[in-house]
Amino acid sequence: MDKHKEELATLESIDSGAVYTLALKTHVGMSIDTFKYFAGWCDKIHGKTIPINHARPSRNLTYTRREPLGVCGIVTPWNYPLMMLAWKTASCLAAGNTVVLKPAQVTPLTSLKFGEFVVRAGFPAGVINIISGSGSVVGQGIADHEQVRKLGFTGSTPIGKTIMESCARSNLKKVSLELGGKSPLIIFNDCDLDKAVRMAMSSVFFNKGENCIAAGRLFVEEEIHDKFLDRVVTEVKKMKIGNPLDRSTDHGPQNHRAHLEKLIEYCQIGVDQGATLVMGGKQVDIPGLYMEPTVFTDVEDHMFIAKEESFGPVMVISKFKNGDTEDVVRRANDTEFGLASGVFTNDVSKALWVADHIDAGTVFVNTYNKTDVAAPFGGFKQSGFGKDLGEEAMNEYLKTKAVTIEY
Amino acid sequence: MSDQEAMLFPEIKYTKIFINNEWHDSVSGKTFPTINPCTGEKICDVQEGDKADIDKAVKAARDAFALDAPWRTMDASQRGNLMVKLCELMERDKVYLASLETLDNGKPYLDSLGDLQMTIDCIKYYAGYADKIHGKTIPMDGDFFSYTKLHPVGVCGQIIPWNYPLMMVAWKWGPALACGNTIIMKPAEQTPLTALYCAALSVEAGFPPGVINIVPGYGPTAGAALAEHMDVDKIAFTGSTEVGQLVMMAAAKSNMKRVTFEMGGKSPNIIFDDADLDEAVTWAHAAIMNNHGQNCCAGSRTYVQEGIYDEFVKRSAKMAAERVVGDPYDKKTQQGPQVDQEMFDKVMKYCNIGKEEGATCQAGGERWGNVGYFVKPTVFSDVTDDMRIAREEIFGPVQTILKFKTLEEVIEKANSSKYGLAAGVHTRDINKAFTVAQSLQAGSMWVNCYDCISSQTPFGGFKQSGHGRELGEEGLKEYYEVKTVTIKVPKKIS
Repeated sequence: MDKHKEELATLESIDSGAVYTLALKTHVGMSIDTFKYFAGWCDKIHGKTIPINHARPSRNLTYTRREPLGVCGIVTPWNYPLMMLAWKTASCLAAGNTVVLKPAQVTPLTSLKFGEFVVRAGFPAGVINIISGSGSVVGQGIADHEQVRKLGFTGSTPIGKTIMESCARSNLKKVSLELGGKSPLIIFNDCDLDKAVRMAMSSVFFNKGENCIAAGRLFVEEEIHDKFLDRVVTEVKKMKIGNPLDRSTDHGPQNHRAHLEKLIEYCQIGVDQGATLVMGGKQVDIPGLYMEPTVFTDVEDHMFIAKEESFGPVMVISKFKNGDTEDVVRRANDTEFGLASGVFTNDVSKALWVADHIDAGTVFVNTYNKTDVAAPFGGFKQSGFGKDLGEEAMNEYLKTKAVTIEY
Repeated sequence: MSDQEAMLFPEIKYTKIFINNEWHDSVSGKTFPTINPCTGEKICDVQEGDKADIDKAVKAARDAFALDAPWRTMDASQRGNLMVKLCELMERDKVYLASLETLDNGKPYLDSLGDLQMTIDCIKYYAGYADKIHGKTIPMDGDFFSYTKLHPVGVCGQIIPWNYPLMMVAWKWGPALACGNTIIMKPAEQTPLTALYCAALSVEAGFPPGVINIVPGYGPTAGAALAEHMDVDKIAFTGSTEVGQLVMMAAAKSNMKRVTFEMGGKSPNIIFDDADLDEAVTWAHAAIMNNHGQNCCAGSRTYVQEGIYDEFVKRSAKMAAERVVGDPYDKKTQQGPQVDQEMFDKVMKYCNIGKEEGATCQAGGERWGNVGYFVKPTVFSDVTDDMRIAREEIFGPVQTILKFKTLEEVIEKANSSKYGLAAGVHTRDINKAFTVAQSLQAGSMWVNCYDCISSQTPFGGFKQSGHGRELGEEGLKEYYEVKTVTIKVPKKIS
């Protein structure tokens, strides 16, 4: 993968619209790091020996074995086609399973190219299998299959629910789900404002907003709201929009037409419900599926755009009363999602308090999007369950057998 | 060239003291010879380090450990990447390295290749751990947020022996580097050459200066200086129990530096009469004869149940007589010379003691050839537990076979040793297997096998055989310090 990273990044850029520089560094770069990280775990998966009570006069030795589940299905989404494959497949393989992969129908190319590398790396035949196709046929087929013992899925919450039902109904196969999010980013008046603006930009516009942990709502403390908004507007205007293969592009096209159309509709609802559209909200007037980076403010908690995930480059800003930490955290938690979150403050006690009280699988403090192959990643509530990355990810792909010997 | 073909005259490239990624002459100007044990002749002279050189090396290692030094600020995963690169270079140069190992140590070339593979595997194993050294967050009482972070111990002195020169480099560098420490290594004076070559490879791999330093020299001078040094945070020693005690005292008297030891053994290997006899004879033979008996965990007390005793002795004697001794570069050779004159003399002494004590010499018991330090594979039977050859470590290819009647008896005899490094048991019966495994005071317990070690399994001694473990996840514990951080929070929730 490392030898062919430019080719992989180009393919990813063409197929998903990812900006090439990001595709190289993150889509492909992090995929390689993920495999490298889990390669190190393969021979370090330990069971235990456990001192149980003896059946006297005999003695007992109990030990646990951590065993692979068997045949695993992995169904991946279109926003980071190769990286989502890497996040799930690496831990699945480290645990010793075999896998049937289905990449998203709209972005199959890097996953298929990956298949070629699998052969060249020397994996035995049958360990990794890749089937391109639709969710309703191939994905459903894997979810229903009687011999698949586990399905790992990244995608939307509604589809996640269908998959979970199929897993149960078929053969009670294990399932892990990484689903949607409406991750709150809280910016206090005692933050480093420059950094907060930069990170807020990244939290919303990274990968043209097609990012499961994108900050779906920003809560900005009243006192700094206007200053914050001004700076964001200035930064957005600097974004270079264009051909993702161009090395100087910041913002590429959305992934596919249907998604772009949904985004335009999303913004229209925002306007209709009375949020203030500061900039954007429409398609860019050039060929291709380009959406203008969009900023809304004065968004109230009951509004559609305050509750629903856009999965696009739409910044949704709400104010909160100066000093009312408890209430802003209450509002941030008032969602059925719980994937990620962020807080910007220089006050150590406030930072730790917020981190304790936010109901999300990841909390970023004075940063955002800082995922790492070693840090477990996954949601709370209807953002899903089960972790990708980190040591914990392997738990999704192992089962524990206890052996008790009497002698 | 297939990797099965050794270099008969490997060029000696590195003979100096290695500090800060550079090669230095000794401060005193002194050198010492390293000897080819096949011939007794000098291979070359090596710079002889002493206290002054150790001081320089410690300073380099301390500077490399400074909070803002590259080794401290680099990502943990990058430490792992450098270690993987080092493995790739060892793999690239494996014929040279294995040939050099055989030249300096005398072990058969194919054994050196095997050792080198284990060396590479060990460093690669620990490379995988570099970014996986986890502290915890802890639910403490009170309104606090508490977590632990595992810090590298710091500047680590590492004194290694001559019996597995390359493998001992890996067993020490692996966990130390994975955890982010810096190293001053004193290789054995009998076998410094392969460690020095590995140092050169570490430069090529990209390790920052001062992370790895090597000071060849003698134990009472360079080794002692390292053990006594006030600015060394930890010392790891593999060698004899007698010297280990000196190191431990020096560590305590100086600055309470942390200590780990891998020392001697007189490991029992127990053969029940329901064992597969041929398998047991073969395993027991290898257990004592591997590496010319120069193995800390050698199965050097073979306890055989009375029902199969005579047949076992007969087959073991035959196996010893048929063991091929000779030129270690010859692929047919199974046993080369002992490492030096001193070790040769020790083995000969114990062969004579065994005869004087009344044991029956069934095979060997004398020198092989008349050049170099070769001894014949030796078997003594009718050995009893009170004999010196049954109690004292010989460190040579001398099998001592003792008879026993019952399970209880042999467990007690096996445990009655000041050592506790390893043990073996051969039996088909599940009850005997687990009872013996549970009962013996040994850090490594082998069932129906012997000497089976891999990077993943912790290794070390009970009692006077050692202190701490190497290999496996446990091996990391010796190379980090736990820091607990406790932060006041306004009000805690669980």
